[in-house]
Amino acid sequence: MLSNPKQDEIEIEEFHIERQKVGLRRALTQIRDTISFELRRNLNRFLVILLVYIGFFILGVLIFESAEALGLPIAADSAEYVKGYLELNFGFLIVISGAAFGGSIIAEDYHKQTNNLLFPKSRKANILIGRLIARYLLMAACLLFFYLLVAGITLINYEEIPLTIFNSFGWALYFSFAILSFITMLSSFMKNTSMTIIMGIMITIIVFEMIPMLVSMSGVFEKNEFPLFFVLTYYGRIVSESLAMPNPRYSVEIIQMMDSEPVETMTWLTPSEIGAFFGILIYISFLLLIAYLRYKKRQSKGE
Amino acid sequence: MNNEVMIRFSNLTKKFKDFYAVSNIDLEIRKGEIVGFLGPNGAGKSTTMKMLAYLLKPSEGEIWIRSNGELKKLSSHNKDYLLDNIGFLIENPTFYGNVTPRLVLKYFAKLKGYPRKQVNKRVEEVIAIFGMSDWIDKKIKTFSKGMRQKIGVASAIMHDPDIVVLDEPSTGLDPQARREVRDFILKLKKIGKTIFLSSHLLYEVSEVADRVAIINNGKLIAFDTLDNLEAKAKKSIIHFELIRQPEENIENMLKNIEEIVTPLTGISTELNWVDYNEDSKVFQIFFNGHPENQLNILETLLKNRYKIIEFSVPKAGLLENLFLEMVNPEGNHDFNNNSQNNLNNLEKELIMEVQ
Repeated sequence: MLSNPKQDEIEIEEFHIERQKVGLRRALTQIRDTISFELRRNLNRFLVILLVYIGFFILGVLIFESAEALGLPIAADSAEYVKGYLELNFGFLIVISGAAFGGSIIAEDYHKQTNNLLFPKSRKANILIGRLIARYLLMAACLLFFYLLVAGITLINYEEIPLTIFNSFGWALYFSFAILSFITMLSSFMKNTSMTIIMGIMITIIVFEMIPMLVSMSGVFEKNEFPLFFVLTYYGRIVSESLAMPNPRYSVEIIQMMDSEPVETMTWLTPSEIGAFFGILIYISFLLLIAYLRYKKRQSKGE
Repeated sequence: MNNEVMIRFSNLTKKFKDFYAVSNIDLEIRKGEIVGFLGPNGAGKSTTMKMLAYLLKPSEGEIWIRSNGELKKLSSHNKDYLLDNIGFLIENPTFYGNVTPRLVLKYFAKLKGYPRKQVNKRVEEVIAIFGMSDWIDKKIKTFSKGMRQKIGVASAIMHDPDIVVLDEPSTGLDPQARREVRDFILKLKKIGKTIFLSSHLLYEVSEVADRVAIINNGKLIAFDTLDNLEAKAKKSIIHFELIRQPEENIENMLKNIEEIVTPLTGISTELNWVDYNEDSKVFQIFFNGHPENQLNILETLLKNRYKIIEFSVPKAGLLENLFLEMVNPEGNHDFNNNSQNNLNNLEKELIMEVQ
């Protein structure tokens, strides 16, 4: 008979271990262990996203250096220079990294059926909190790296780093958590990770950007006098605008259709700091609540 | 084994819209015993297991689990506490591909509150039991289905629970690995663990279970010890092989064997008594399971100059017939195919043993 010698040597010992008791302490331990597991599990993804950030930074450098070489107007000060990088592609980078880190956060358990192994071992809330923290930490590390690169090139070119870069970085961290929350919510509805990533990018880049246009065209708000508080991506504008606050929050334009009277309309450029803080907070709370409820209930339908 | 009930299903029912996946199941699992949960695919085994793991909420009925000496009703309030002492393997285990067994098993053990200082040692011990020490730091995505299944079983016992629930633990395993899992289940029983084992493989269950519960169409149709079920069955299968494999006129030969053994089988139904599998070259005779009839059949075959090299009655055959009758009382069961599957499995195991 074939048998594994190692197996024959090993007998299962009968002993009783003292497991950590169920309760708050166990819950905190589960969250900590999930963070640690997720950090290691997402390491490759992190490295790929980091490369994307570096790629976009290099692209920015090439564009600004080429513009300077061609004699095009350059940024007047360091804050404007940093803003240039952030307006160029940073919103897109946040969305990409949010989708990459958050796309699998819930959908994967049902798509790959990892739920059957995992869920009897921990409360879903602890898993979700641990995963969110771990993935957010990785996302934040990417953002920090990008800001360090931008700060470095700004220091080289302007011999100073604008202090407002810290404001901007703070808003970037806050806004990126809102994007991660949105993708997490989307992940709780989607059947697989790839679809979540694709849908997440499409909705944040295309659908959210179309909403202000549609609202403006519908004429619901005369002159567009209400800020775009209902559009998640609108809050992202504060990341670059916070480099030179107080900026005008809107611009007024006069639009004239063919035969109609000229109409004054407002274009909202950035939310106020207080508005952005509460707006993003409400968004995060709402999105994560939906995500958690979906995560909790999804199993019962036999998915 | 004692009479202390560890798990009790009471009128357990799960309904998906108008479909009853599990209907009014009453079942008790006692301390230290292995209960086999047997049923065809789609019978409701996994749904029952999922309700026990609180992955699905019962539509009706209750699940009671013993913890700290007291039998308590499973609910959302105490599920963490009650399920802490159970290790689950539900359906085919799927792992995150880009992690190693060491990483994932450590994570699972910690989630269940296993002492942190002993986790590393425990992971290595459990992996060694399955003979996978060389693979402990390899990515799971490179593993075969059988290897993943072993890691799944390992994950169920990582935190050293008193109750182990295994849903189709041998799925995808080769005969050697199946035997390892079977031996491992027996070892767990030896040290006092209570095991609830679901399977659609009669062989798997009959080899290890003290009691067998048979489920079909969501309903529990039998629950008894193997001996009692076999006594109820009173039917079995003889397998035999000839020294020389019949090359032609197999139909005539079957007809002849059927004529001489039919009066000796001790049963009367419309089924064919004799069958022959061309792939395995094995004849099968359906009879009542009595040793006297078995002997008479053998003697008659020899008397009629059939040169028999192998003559046996696989134990699972008894249970198999009972099972088939119970899940399909109309008698419209695929007797030959099921028998043949088990026979093929048996043959594979024999081949492995010979090697």
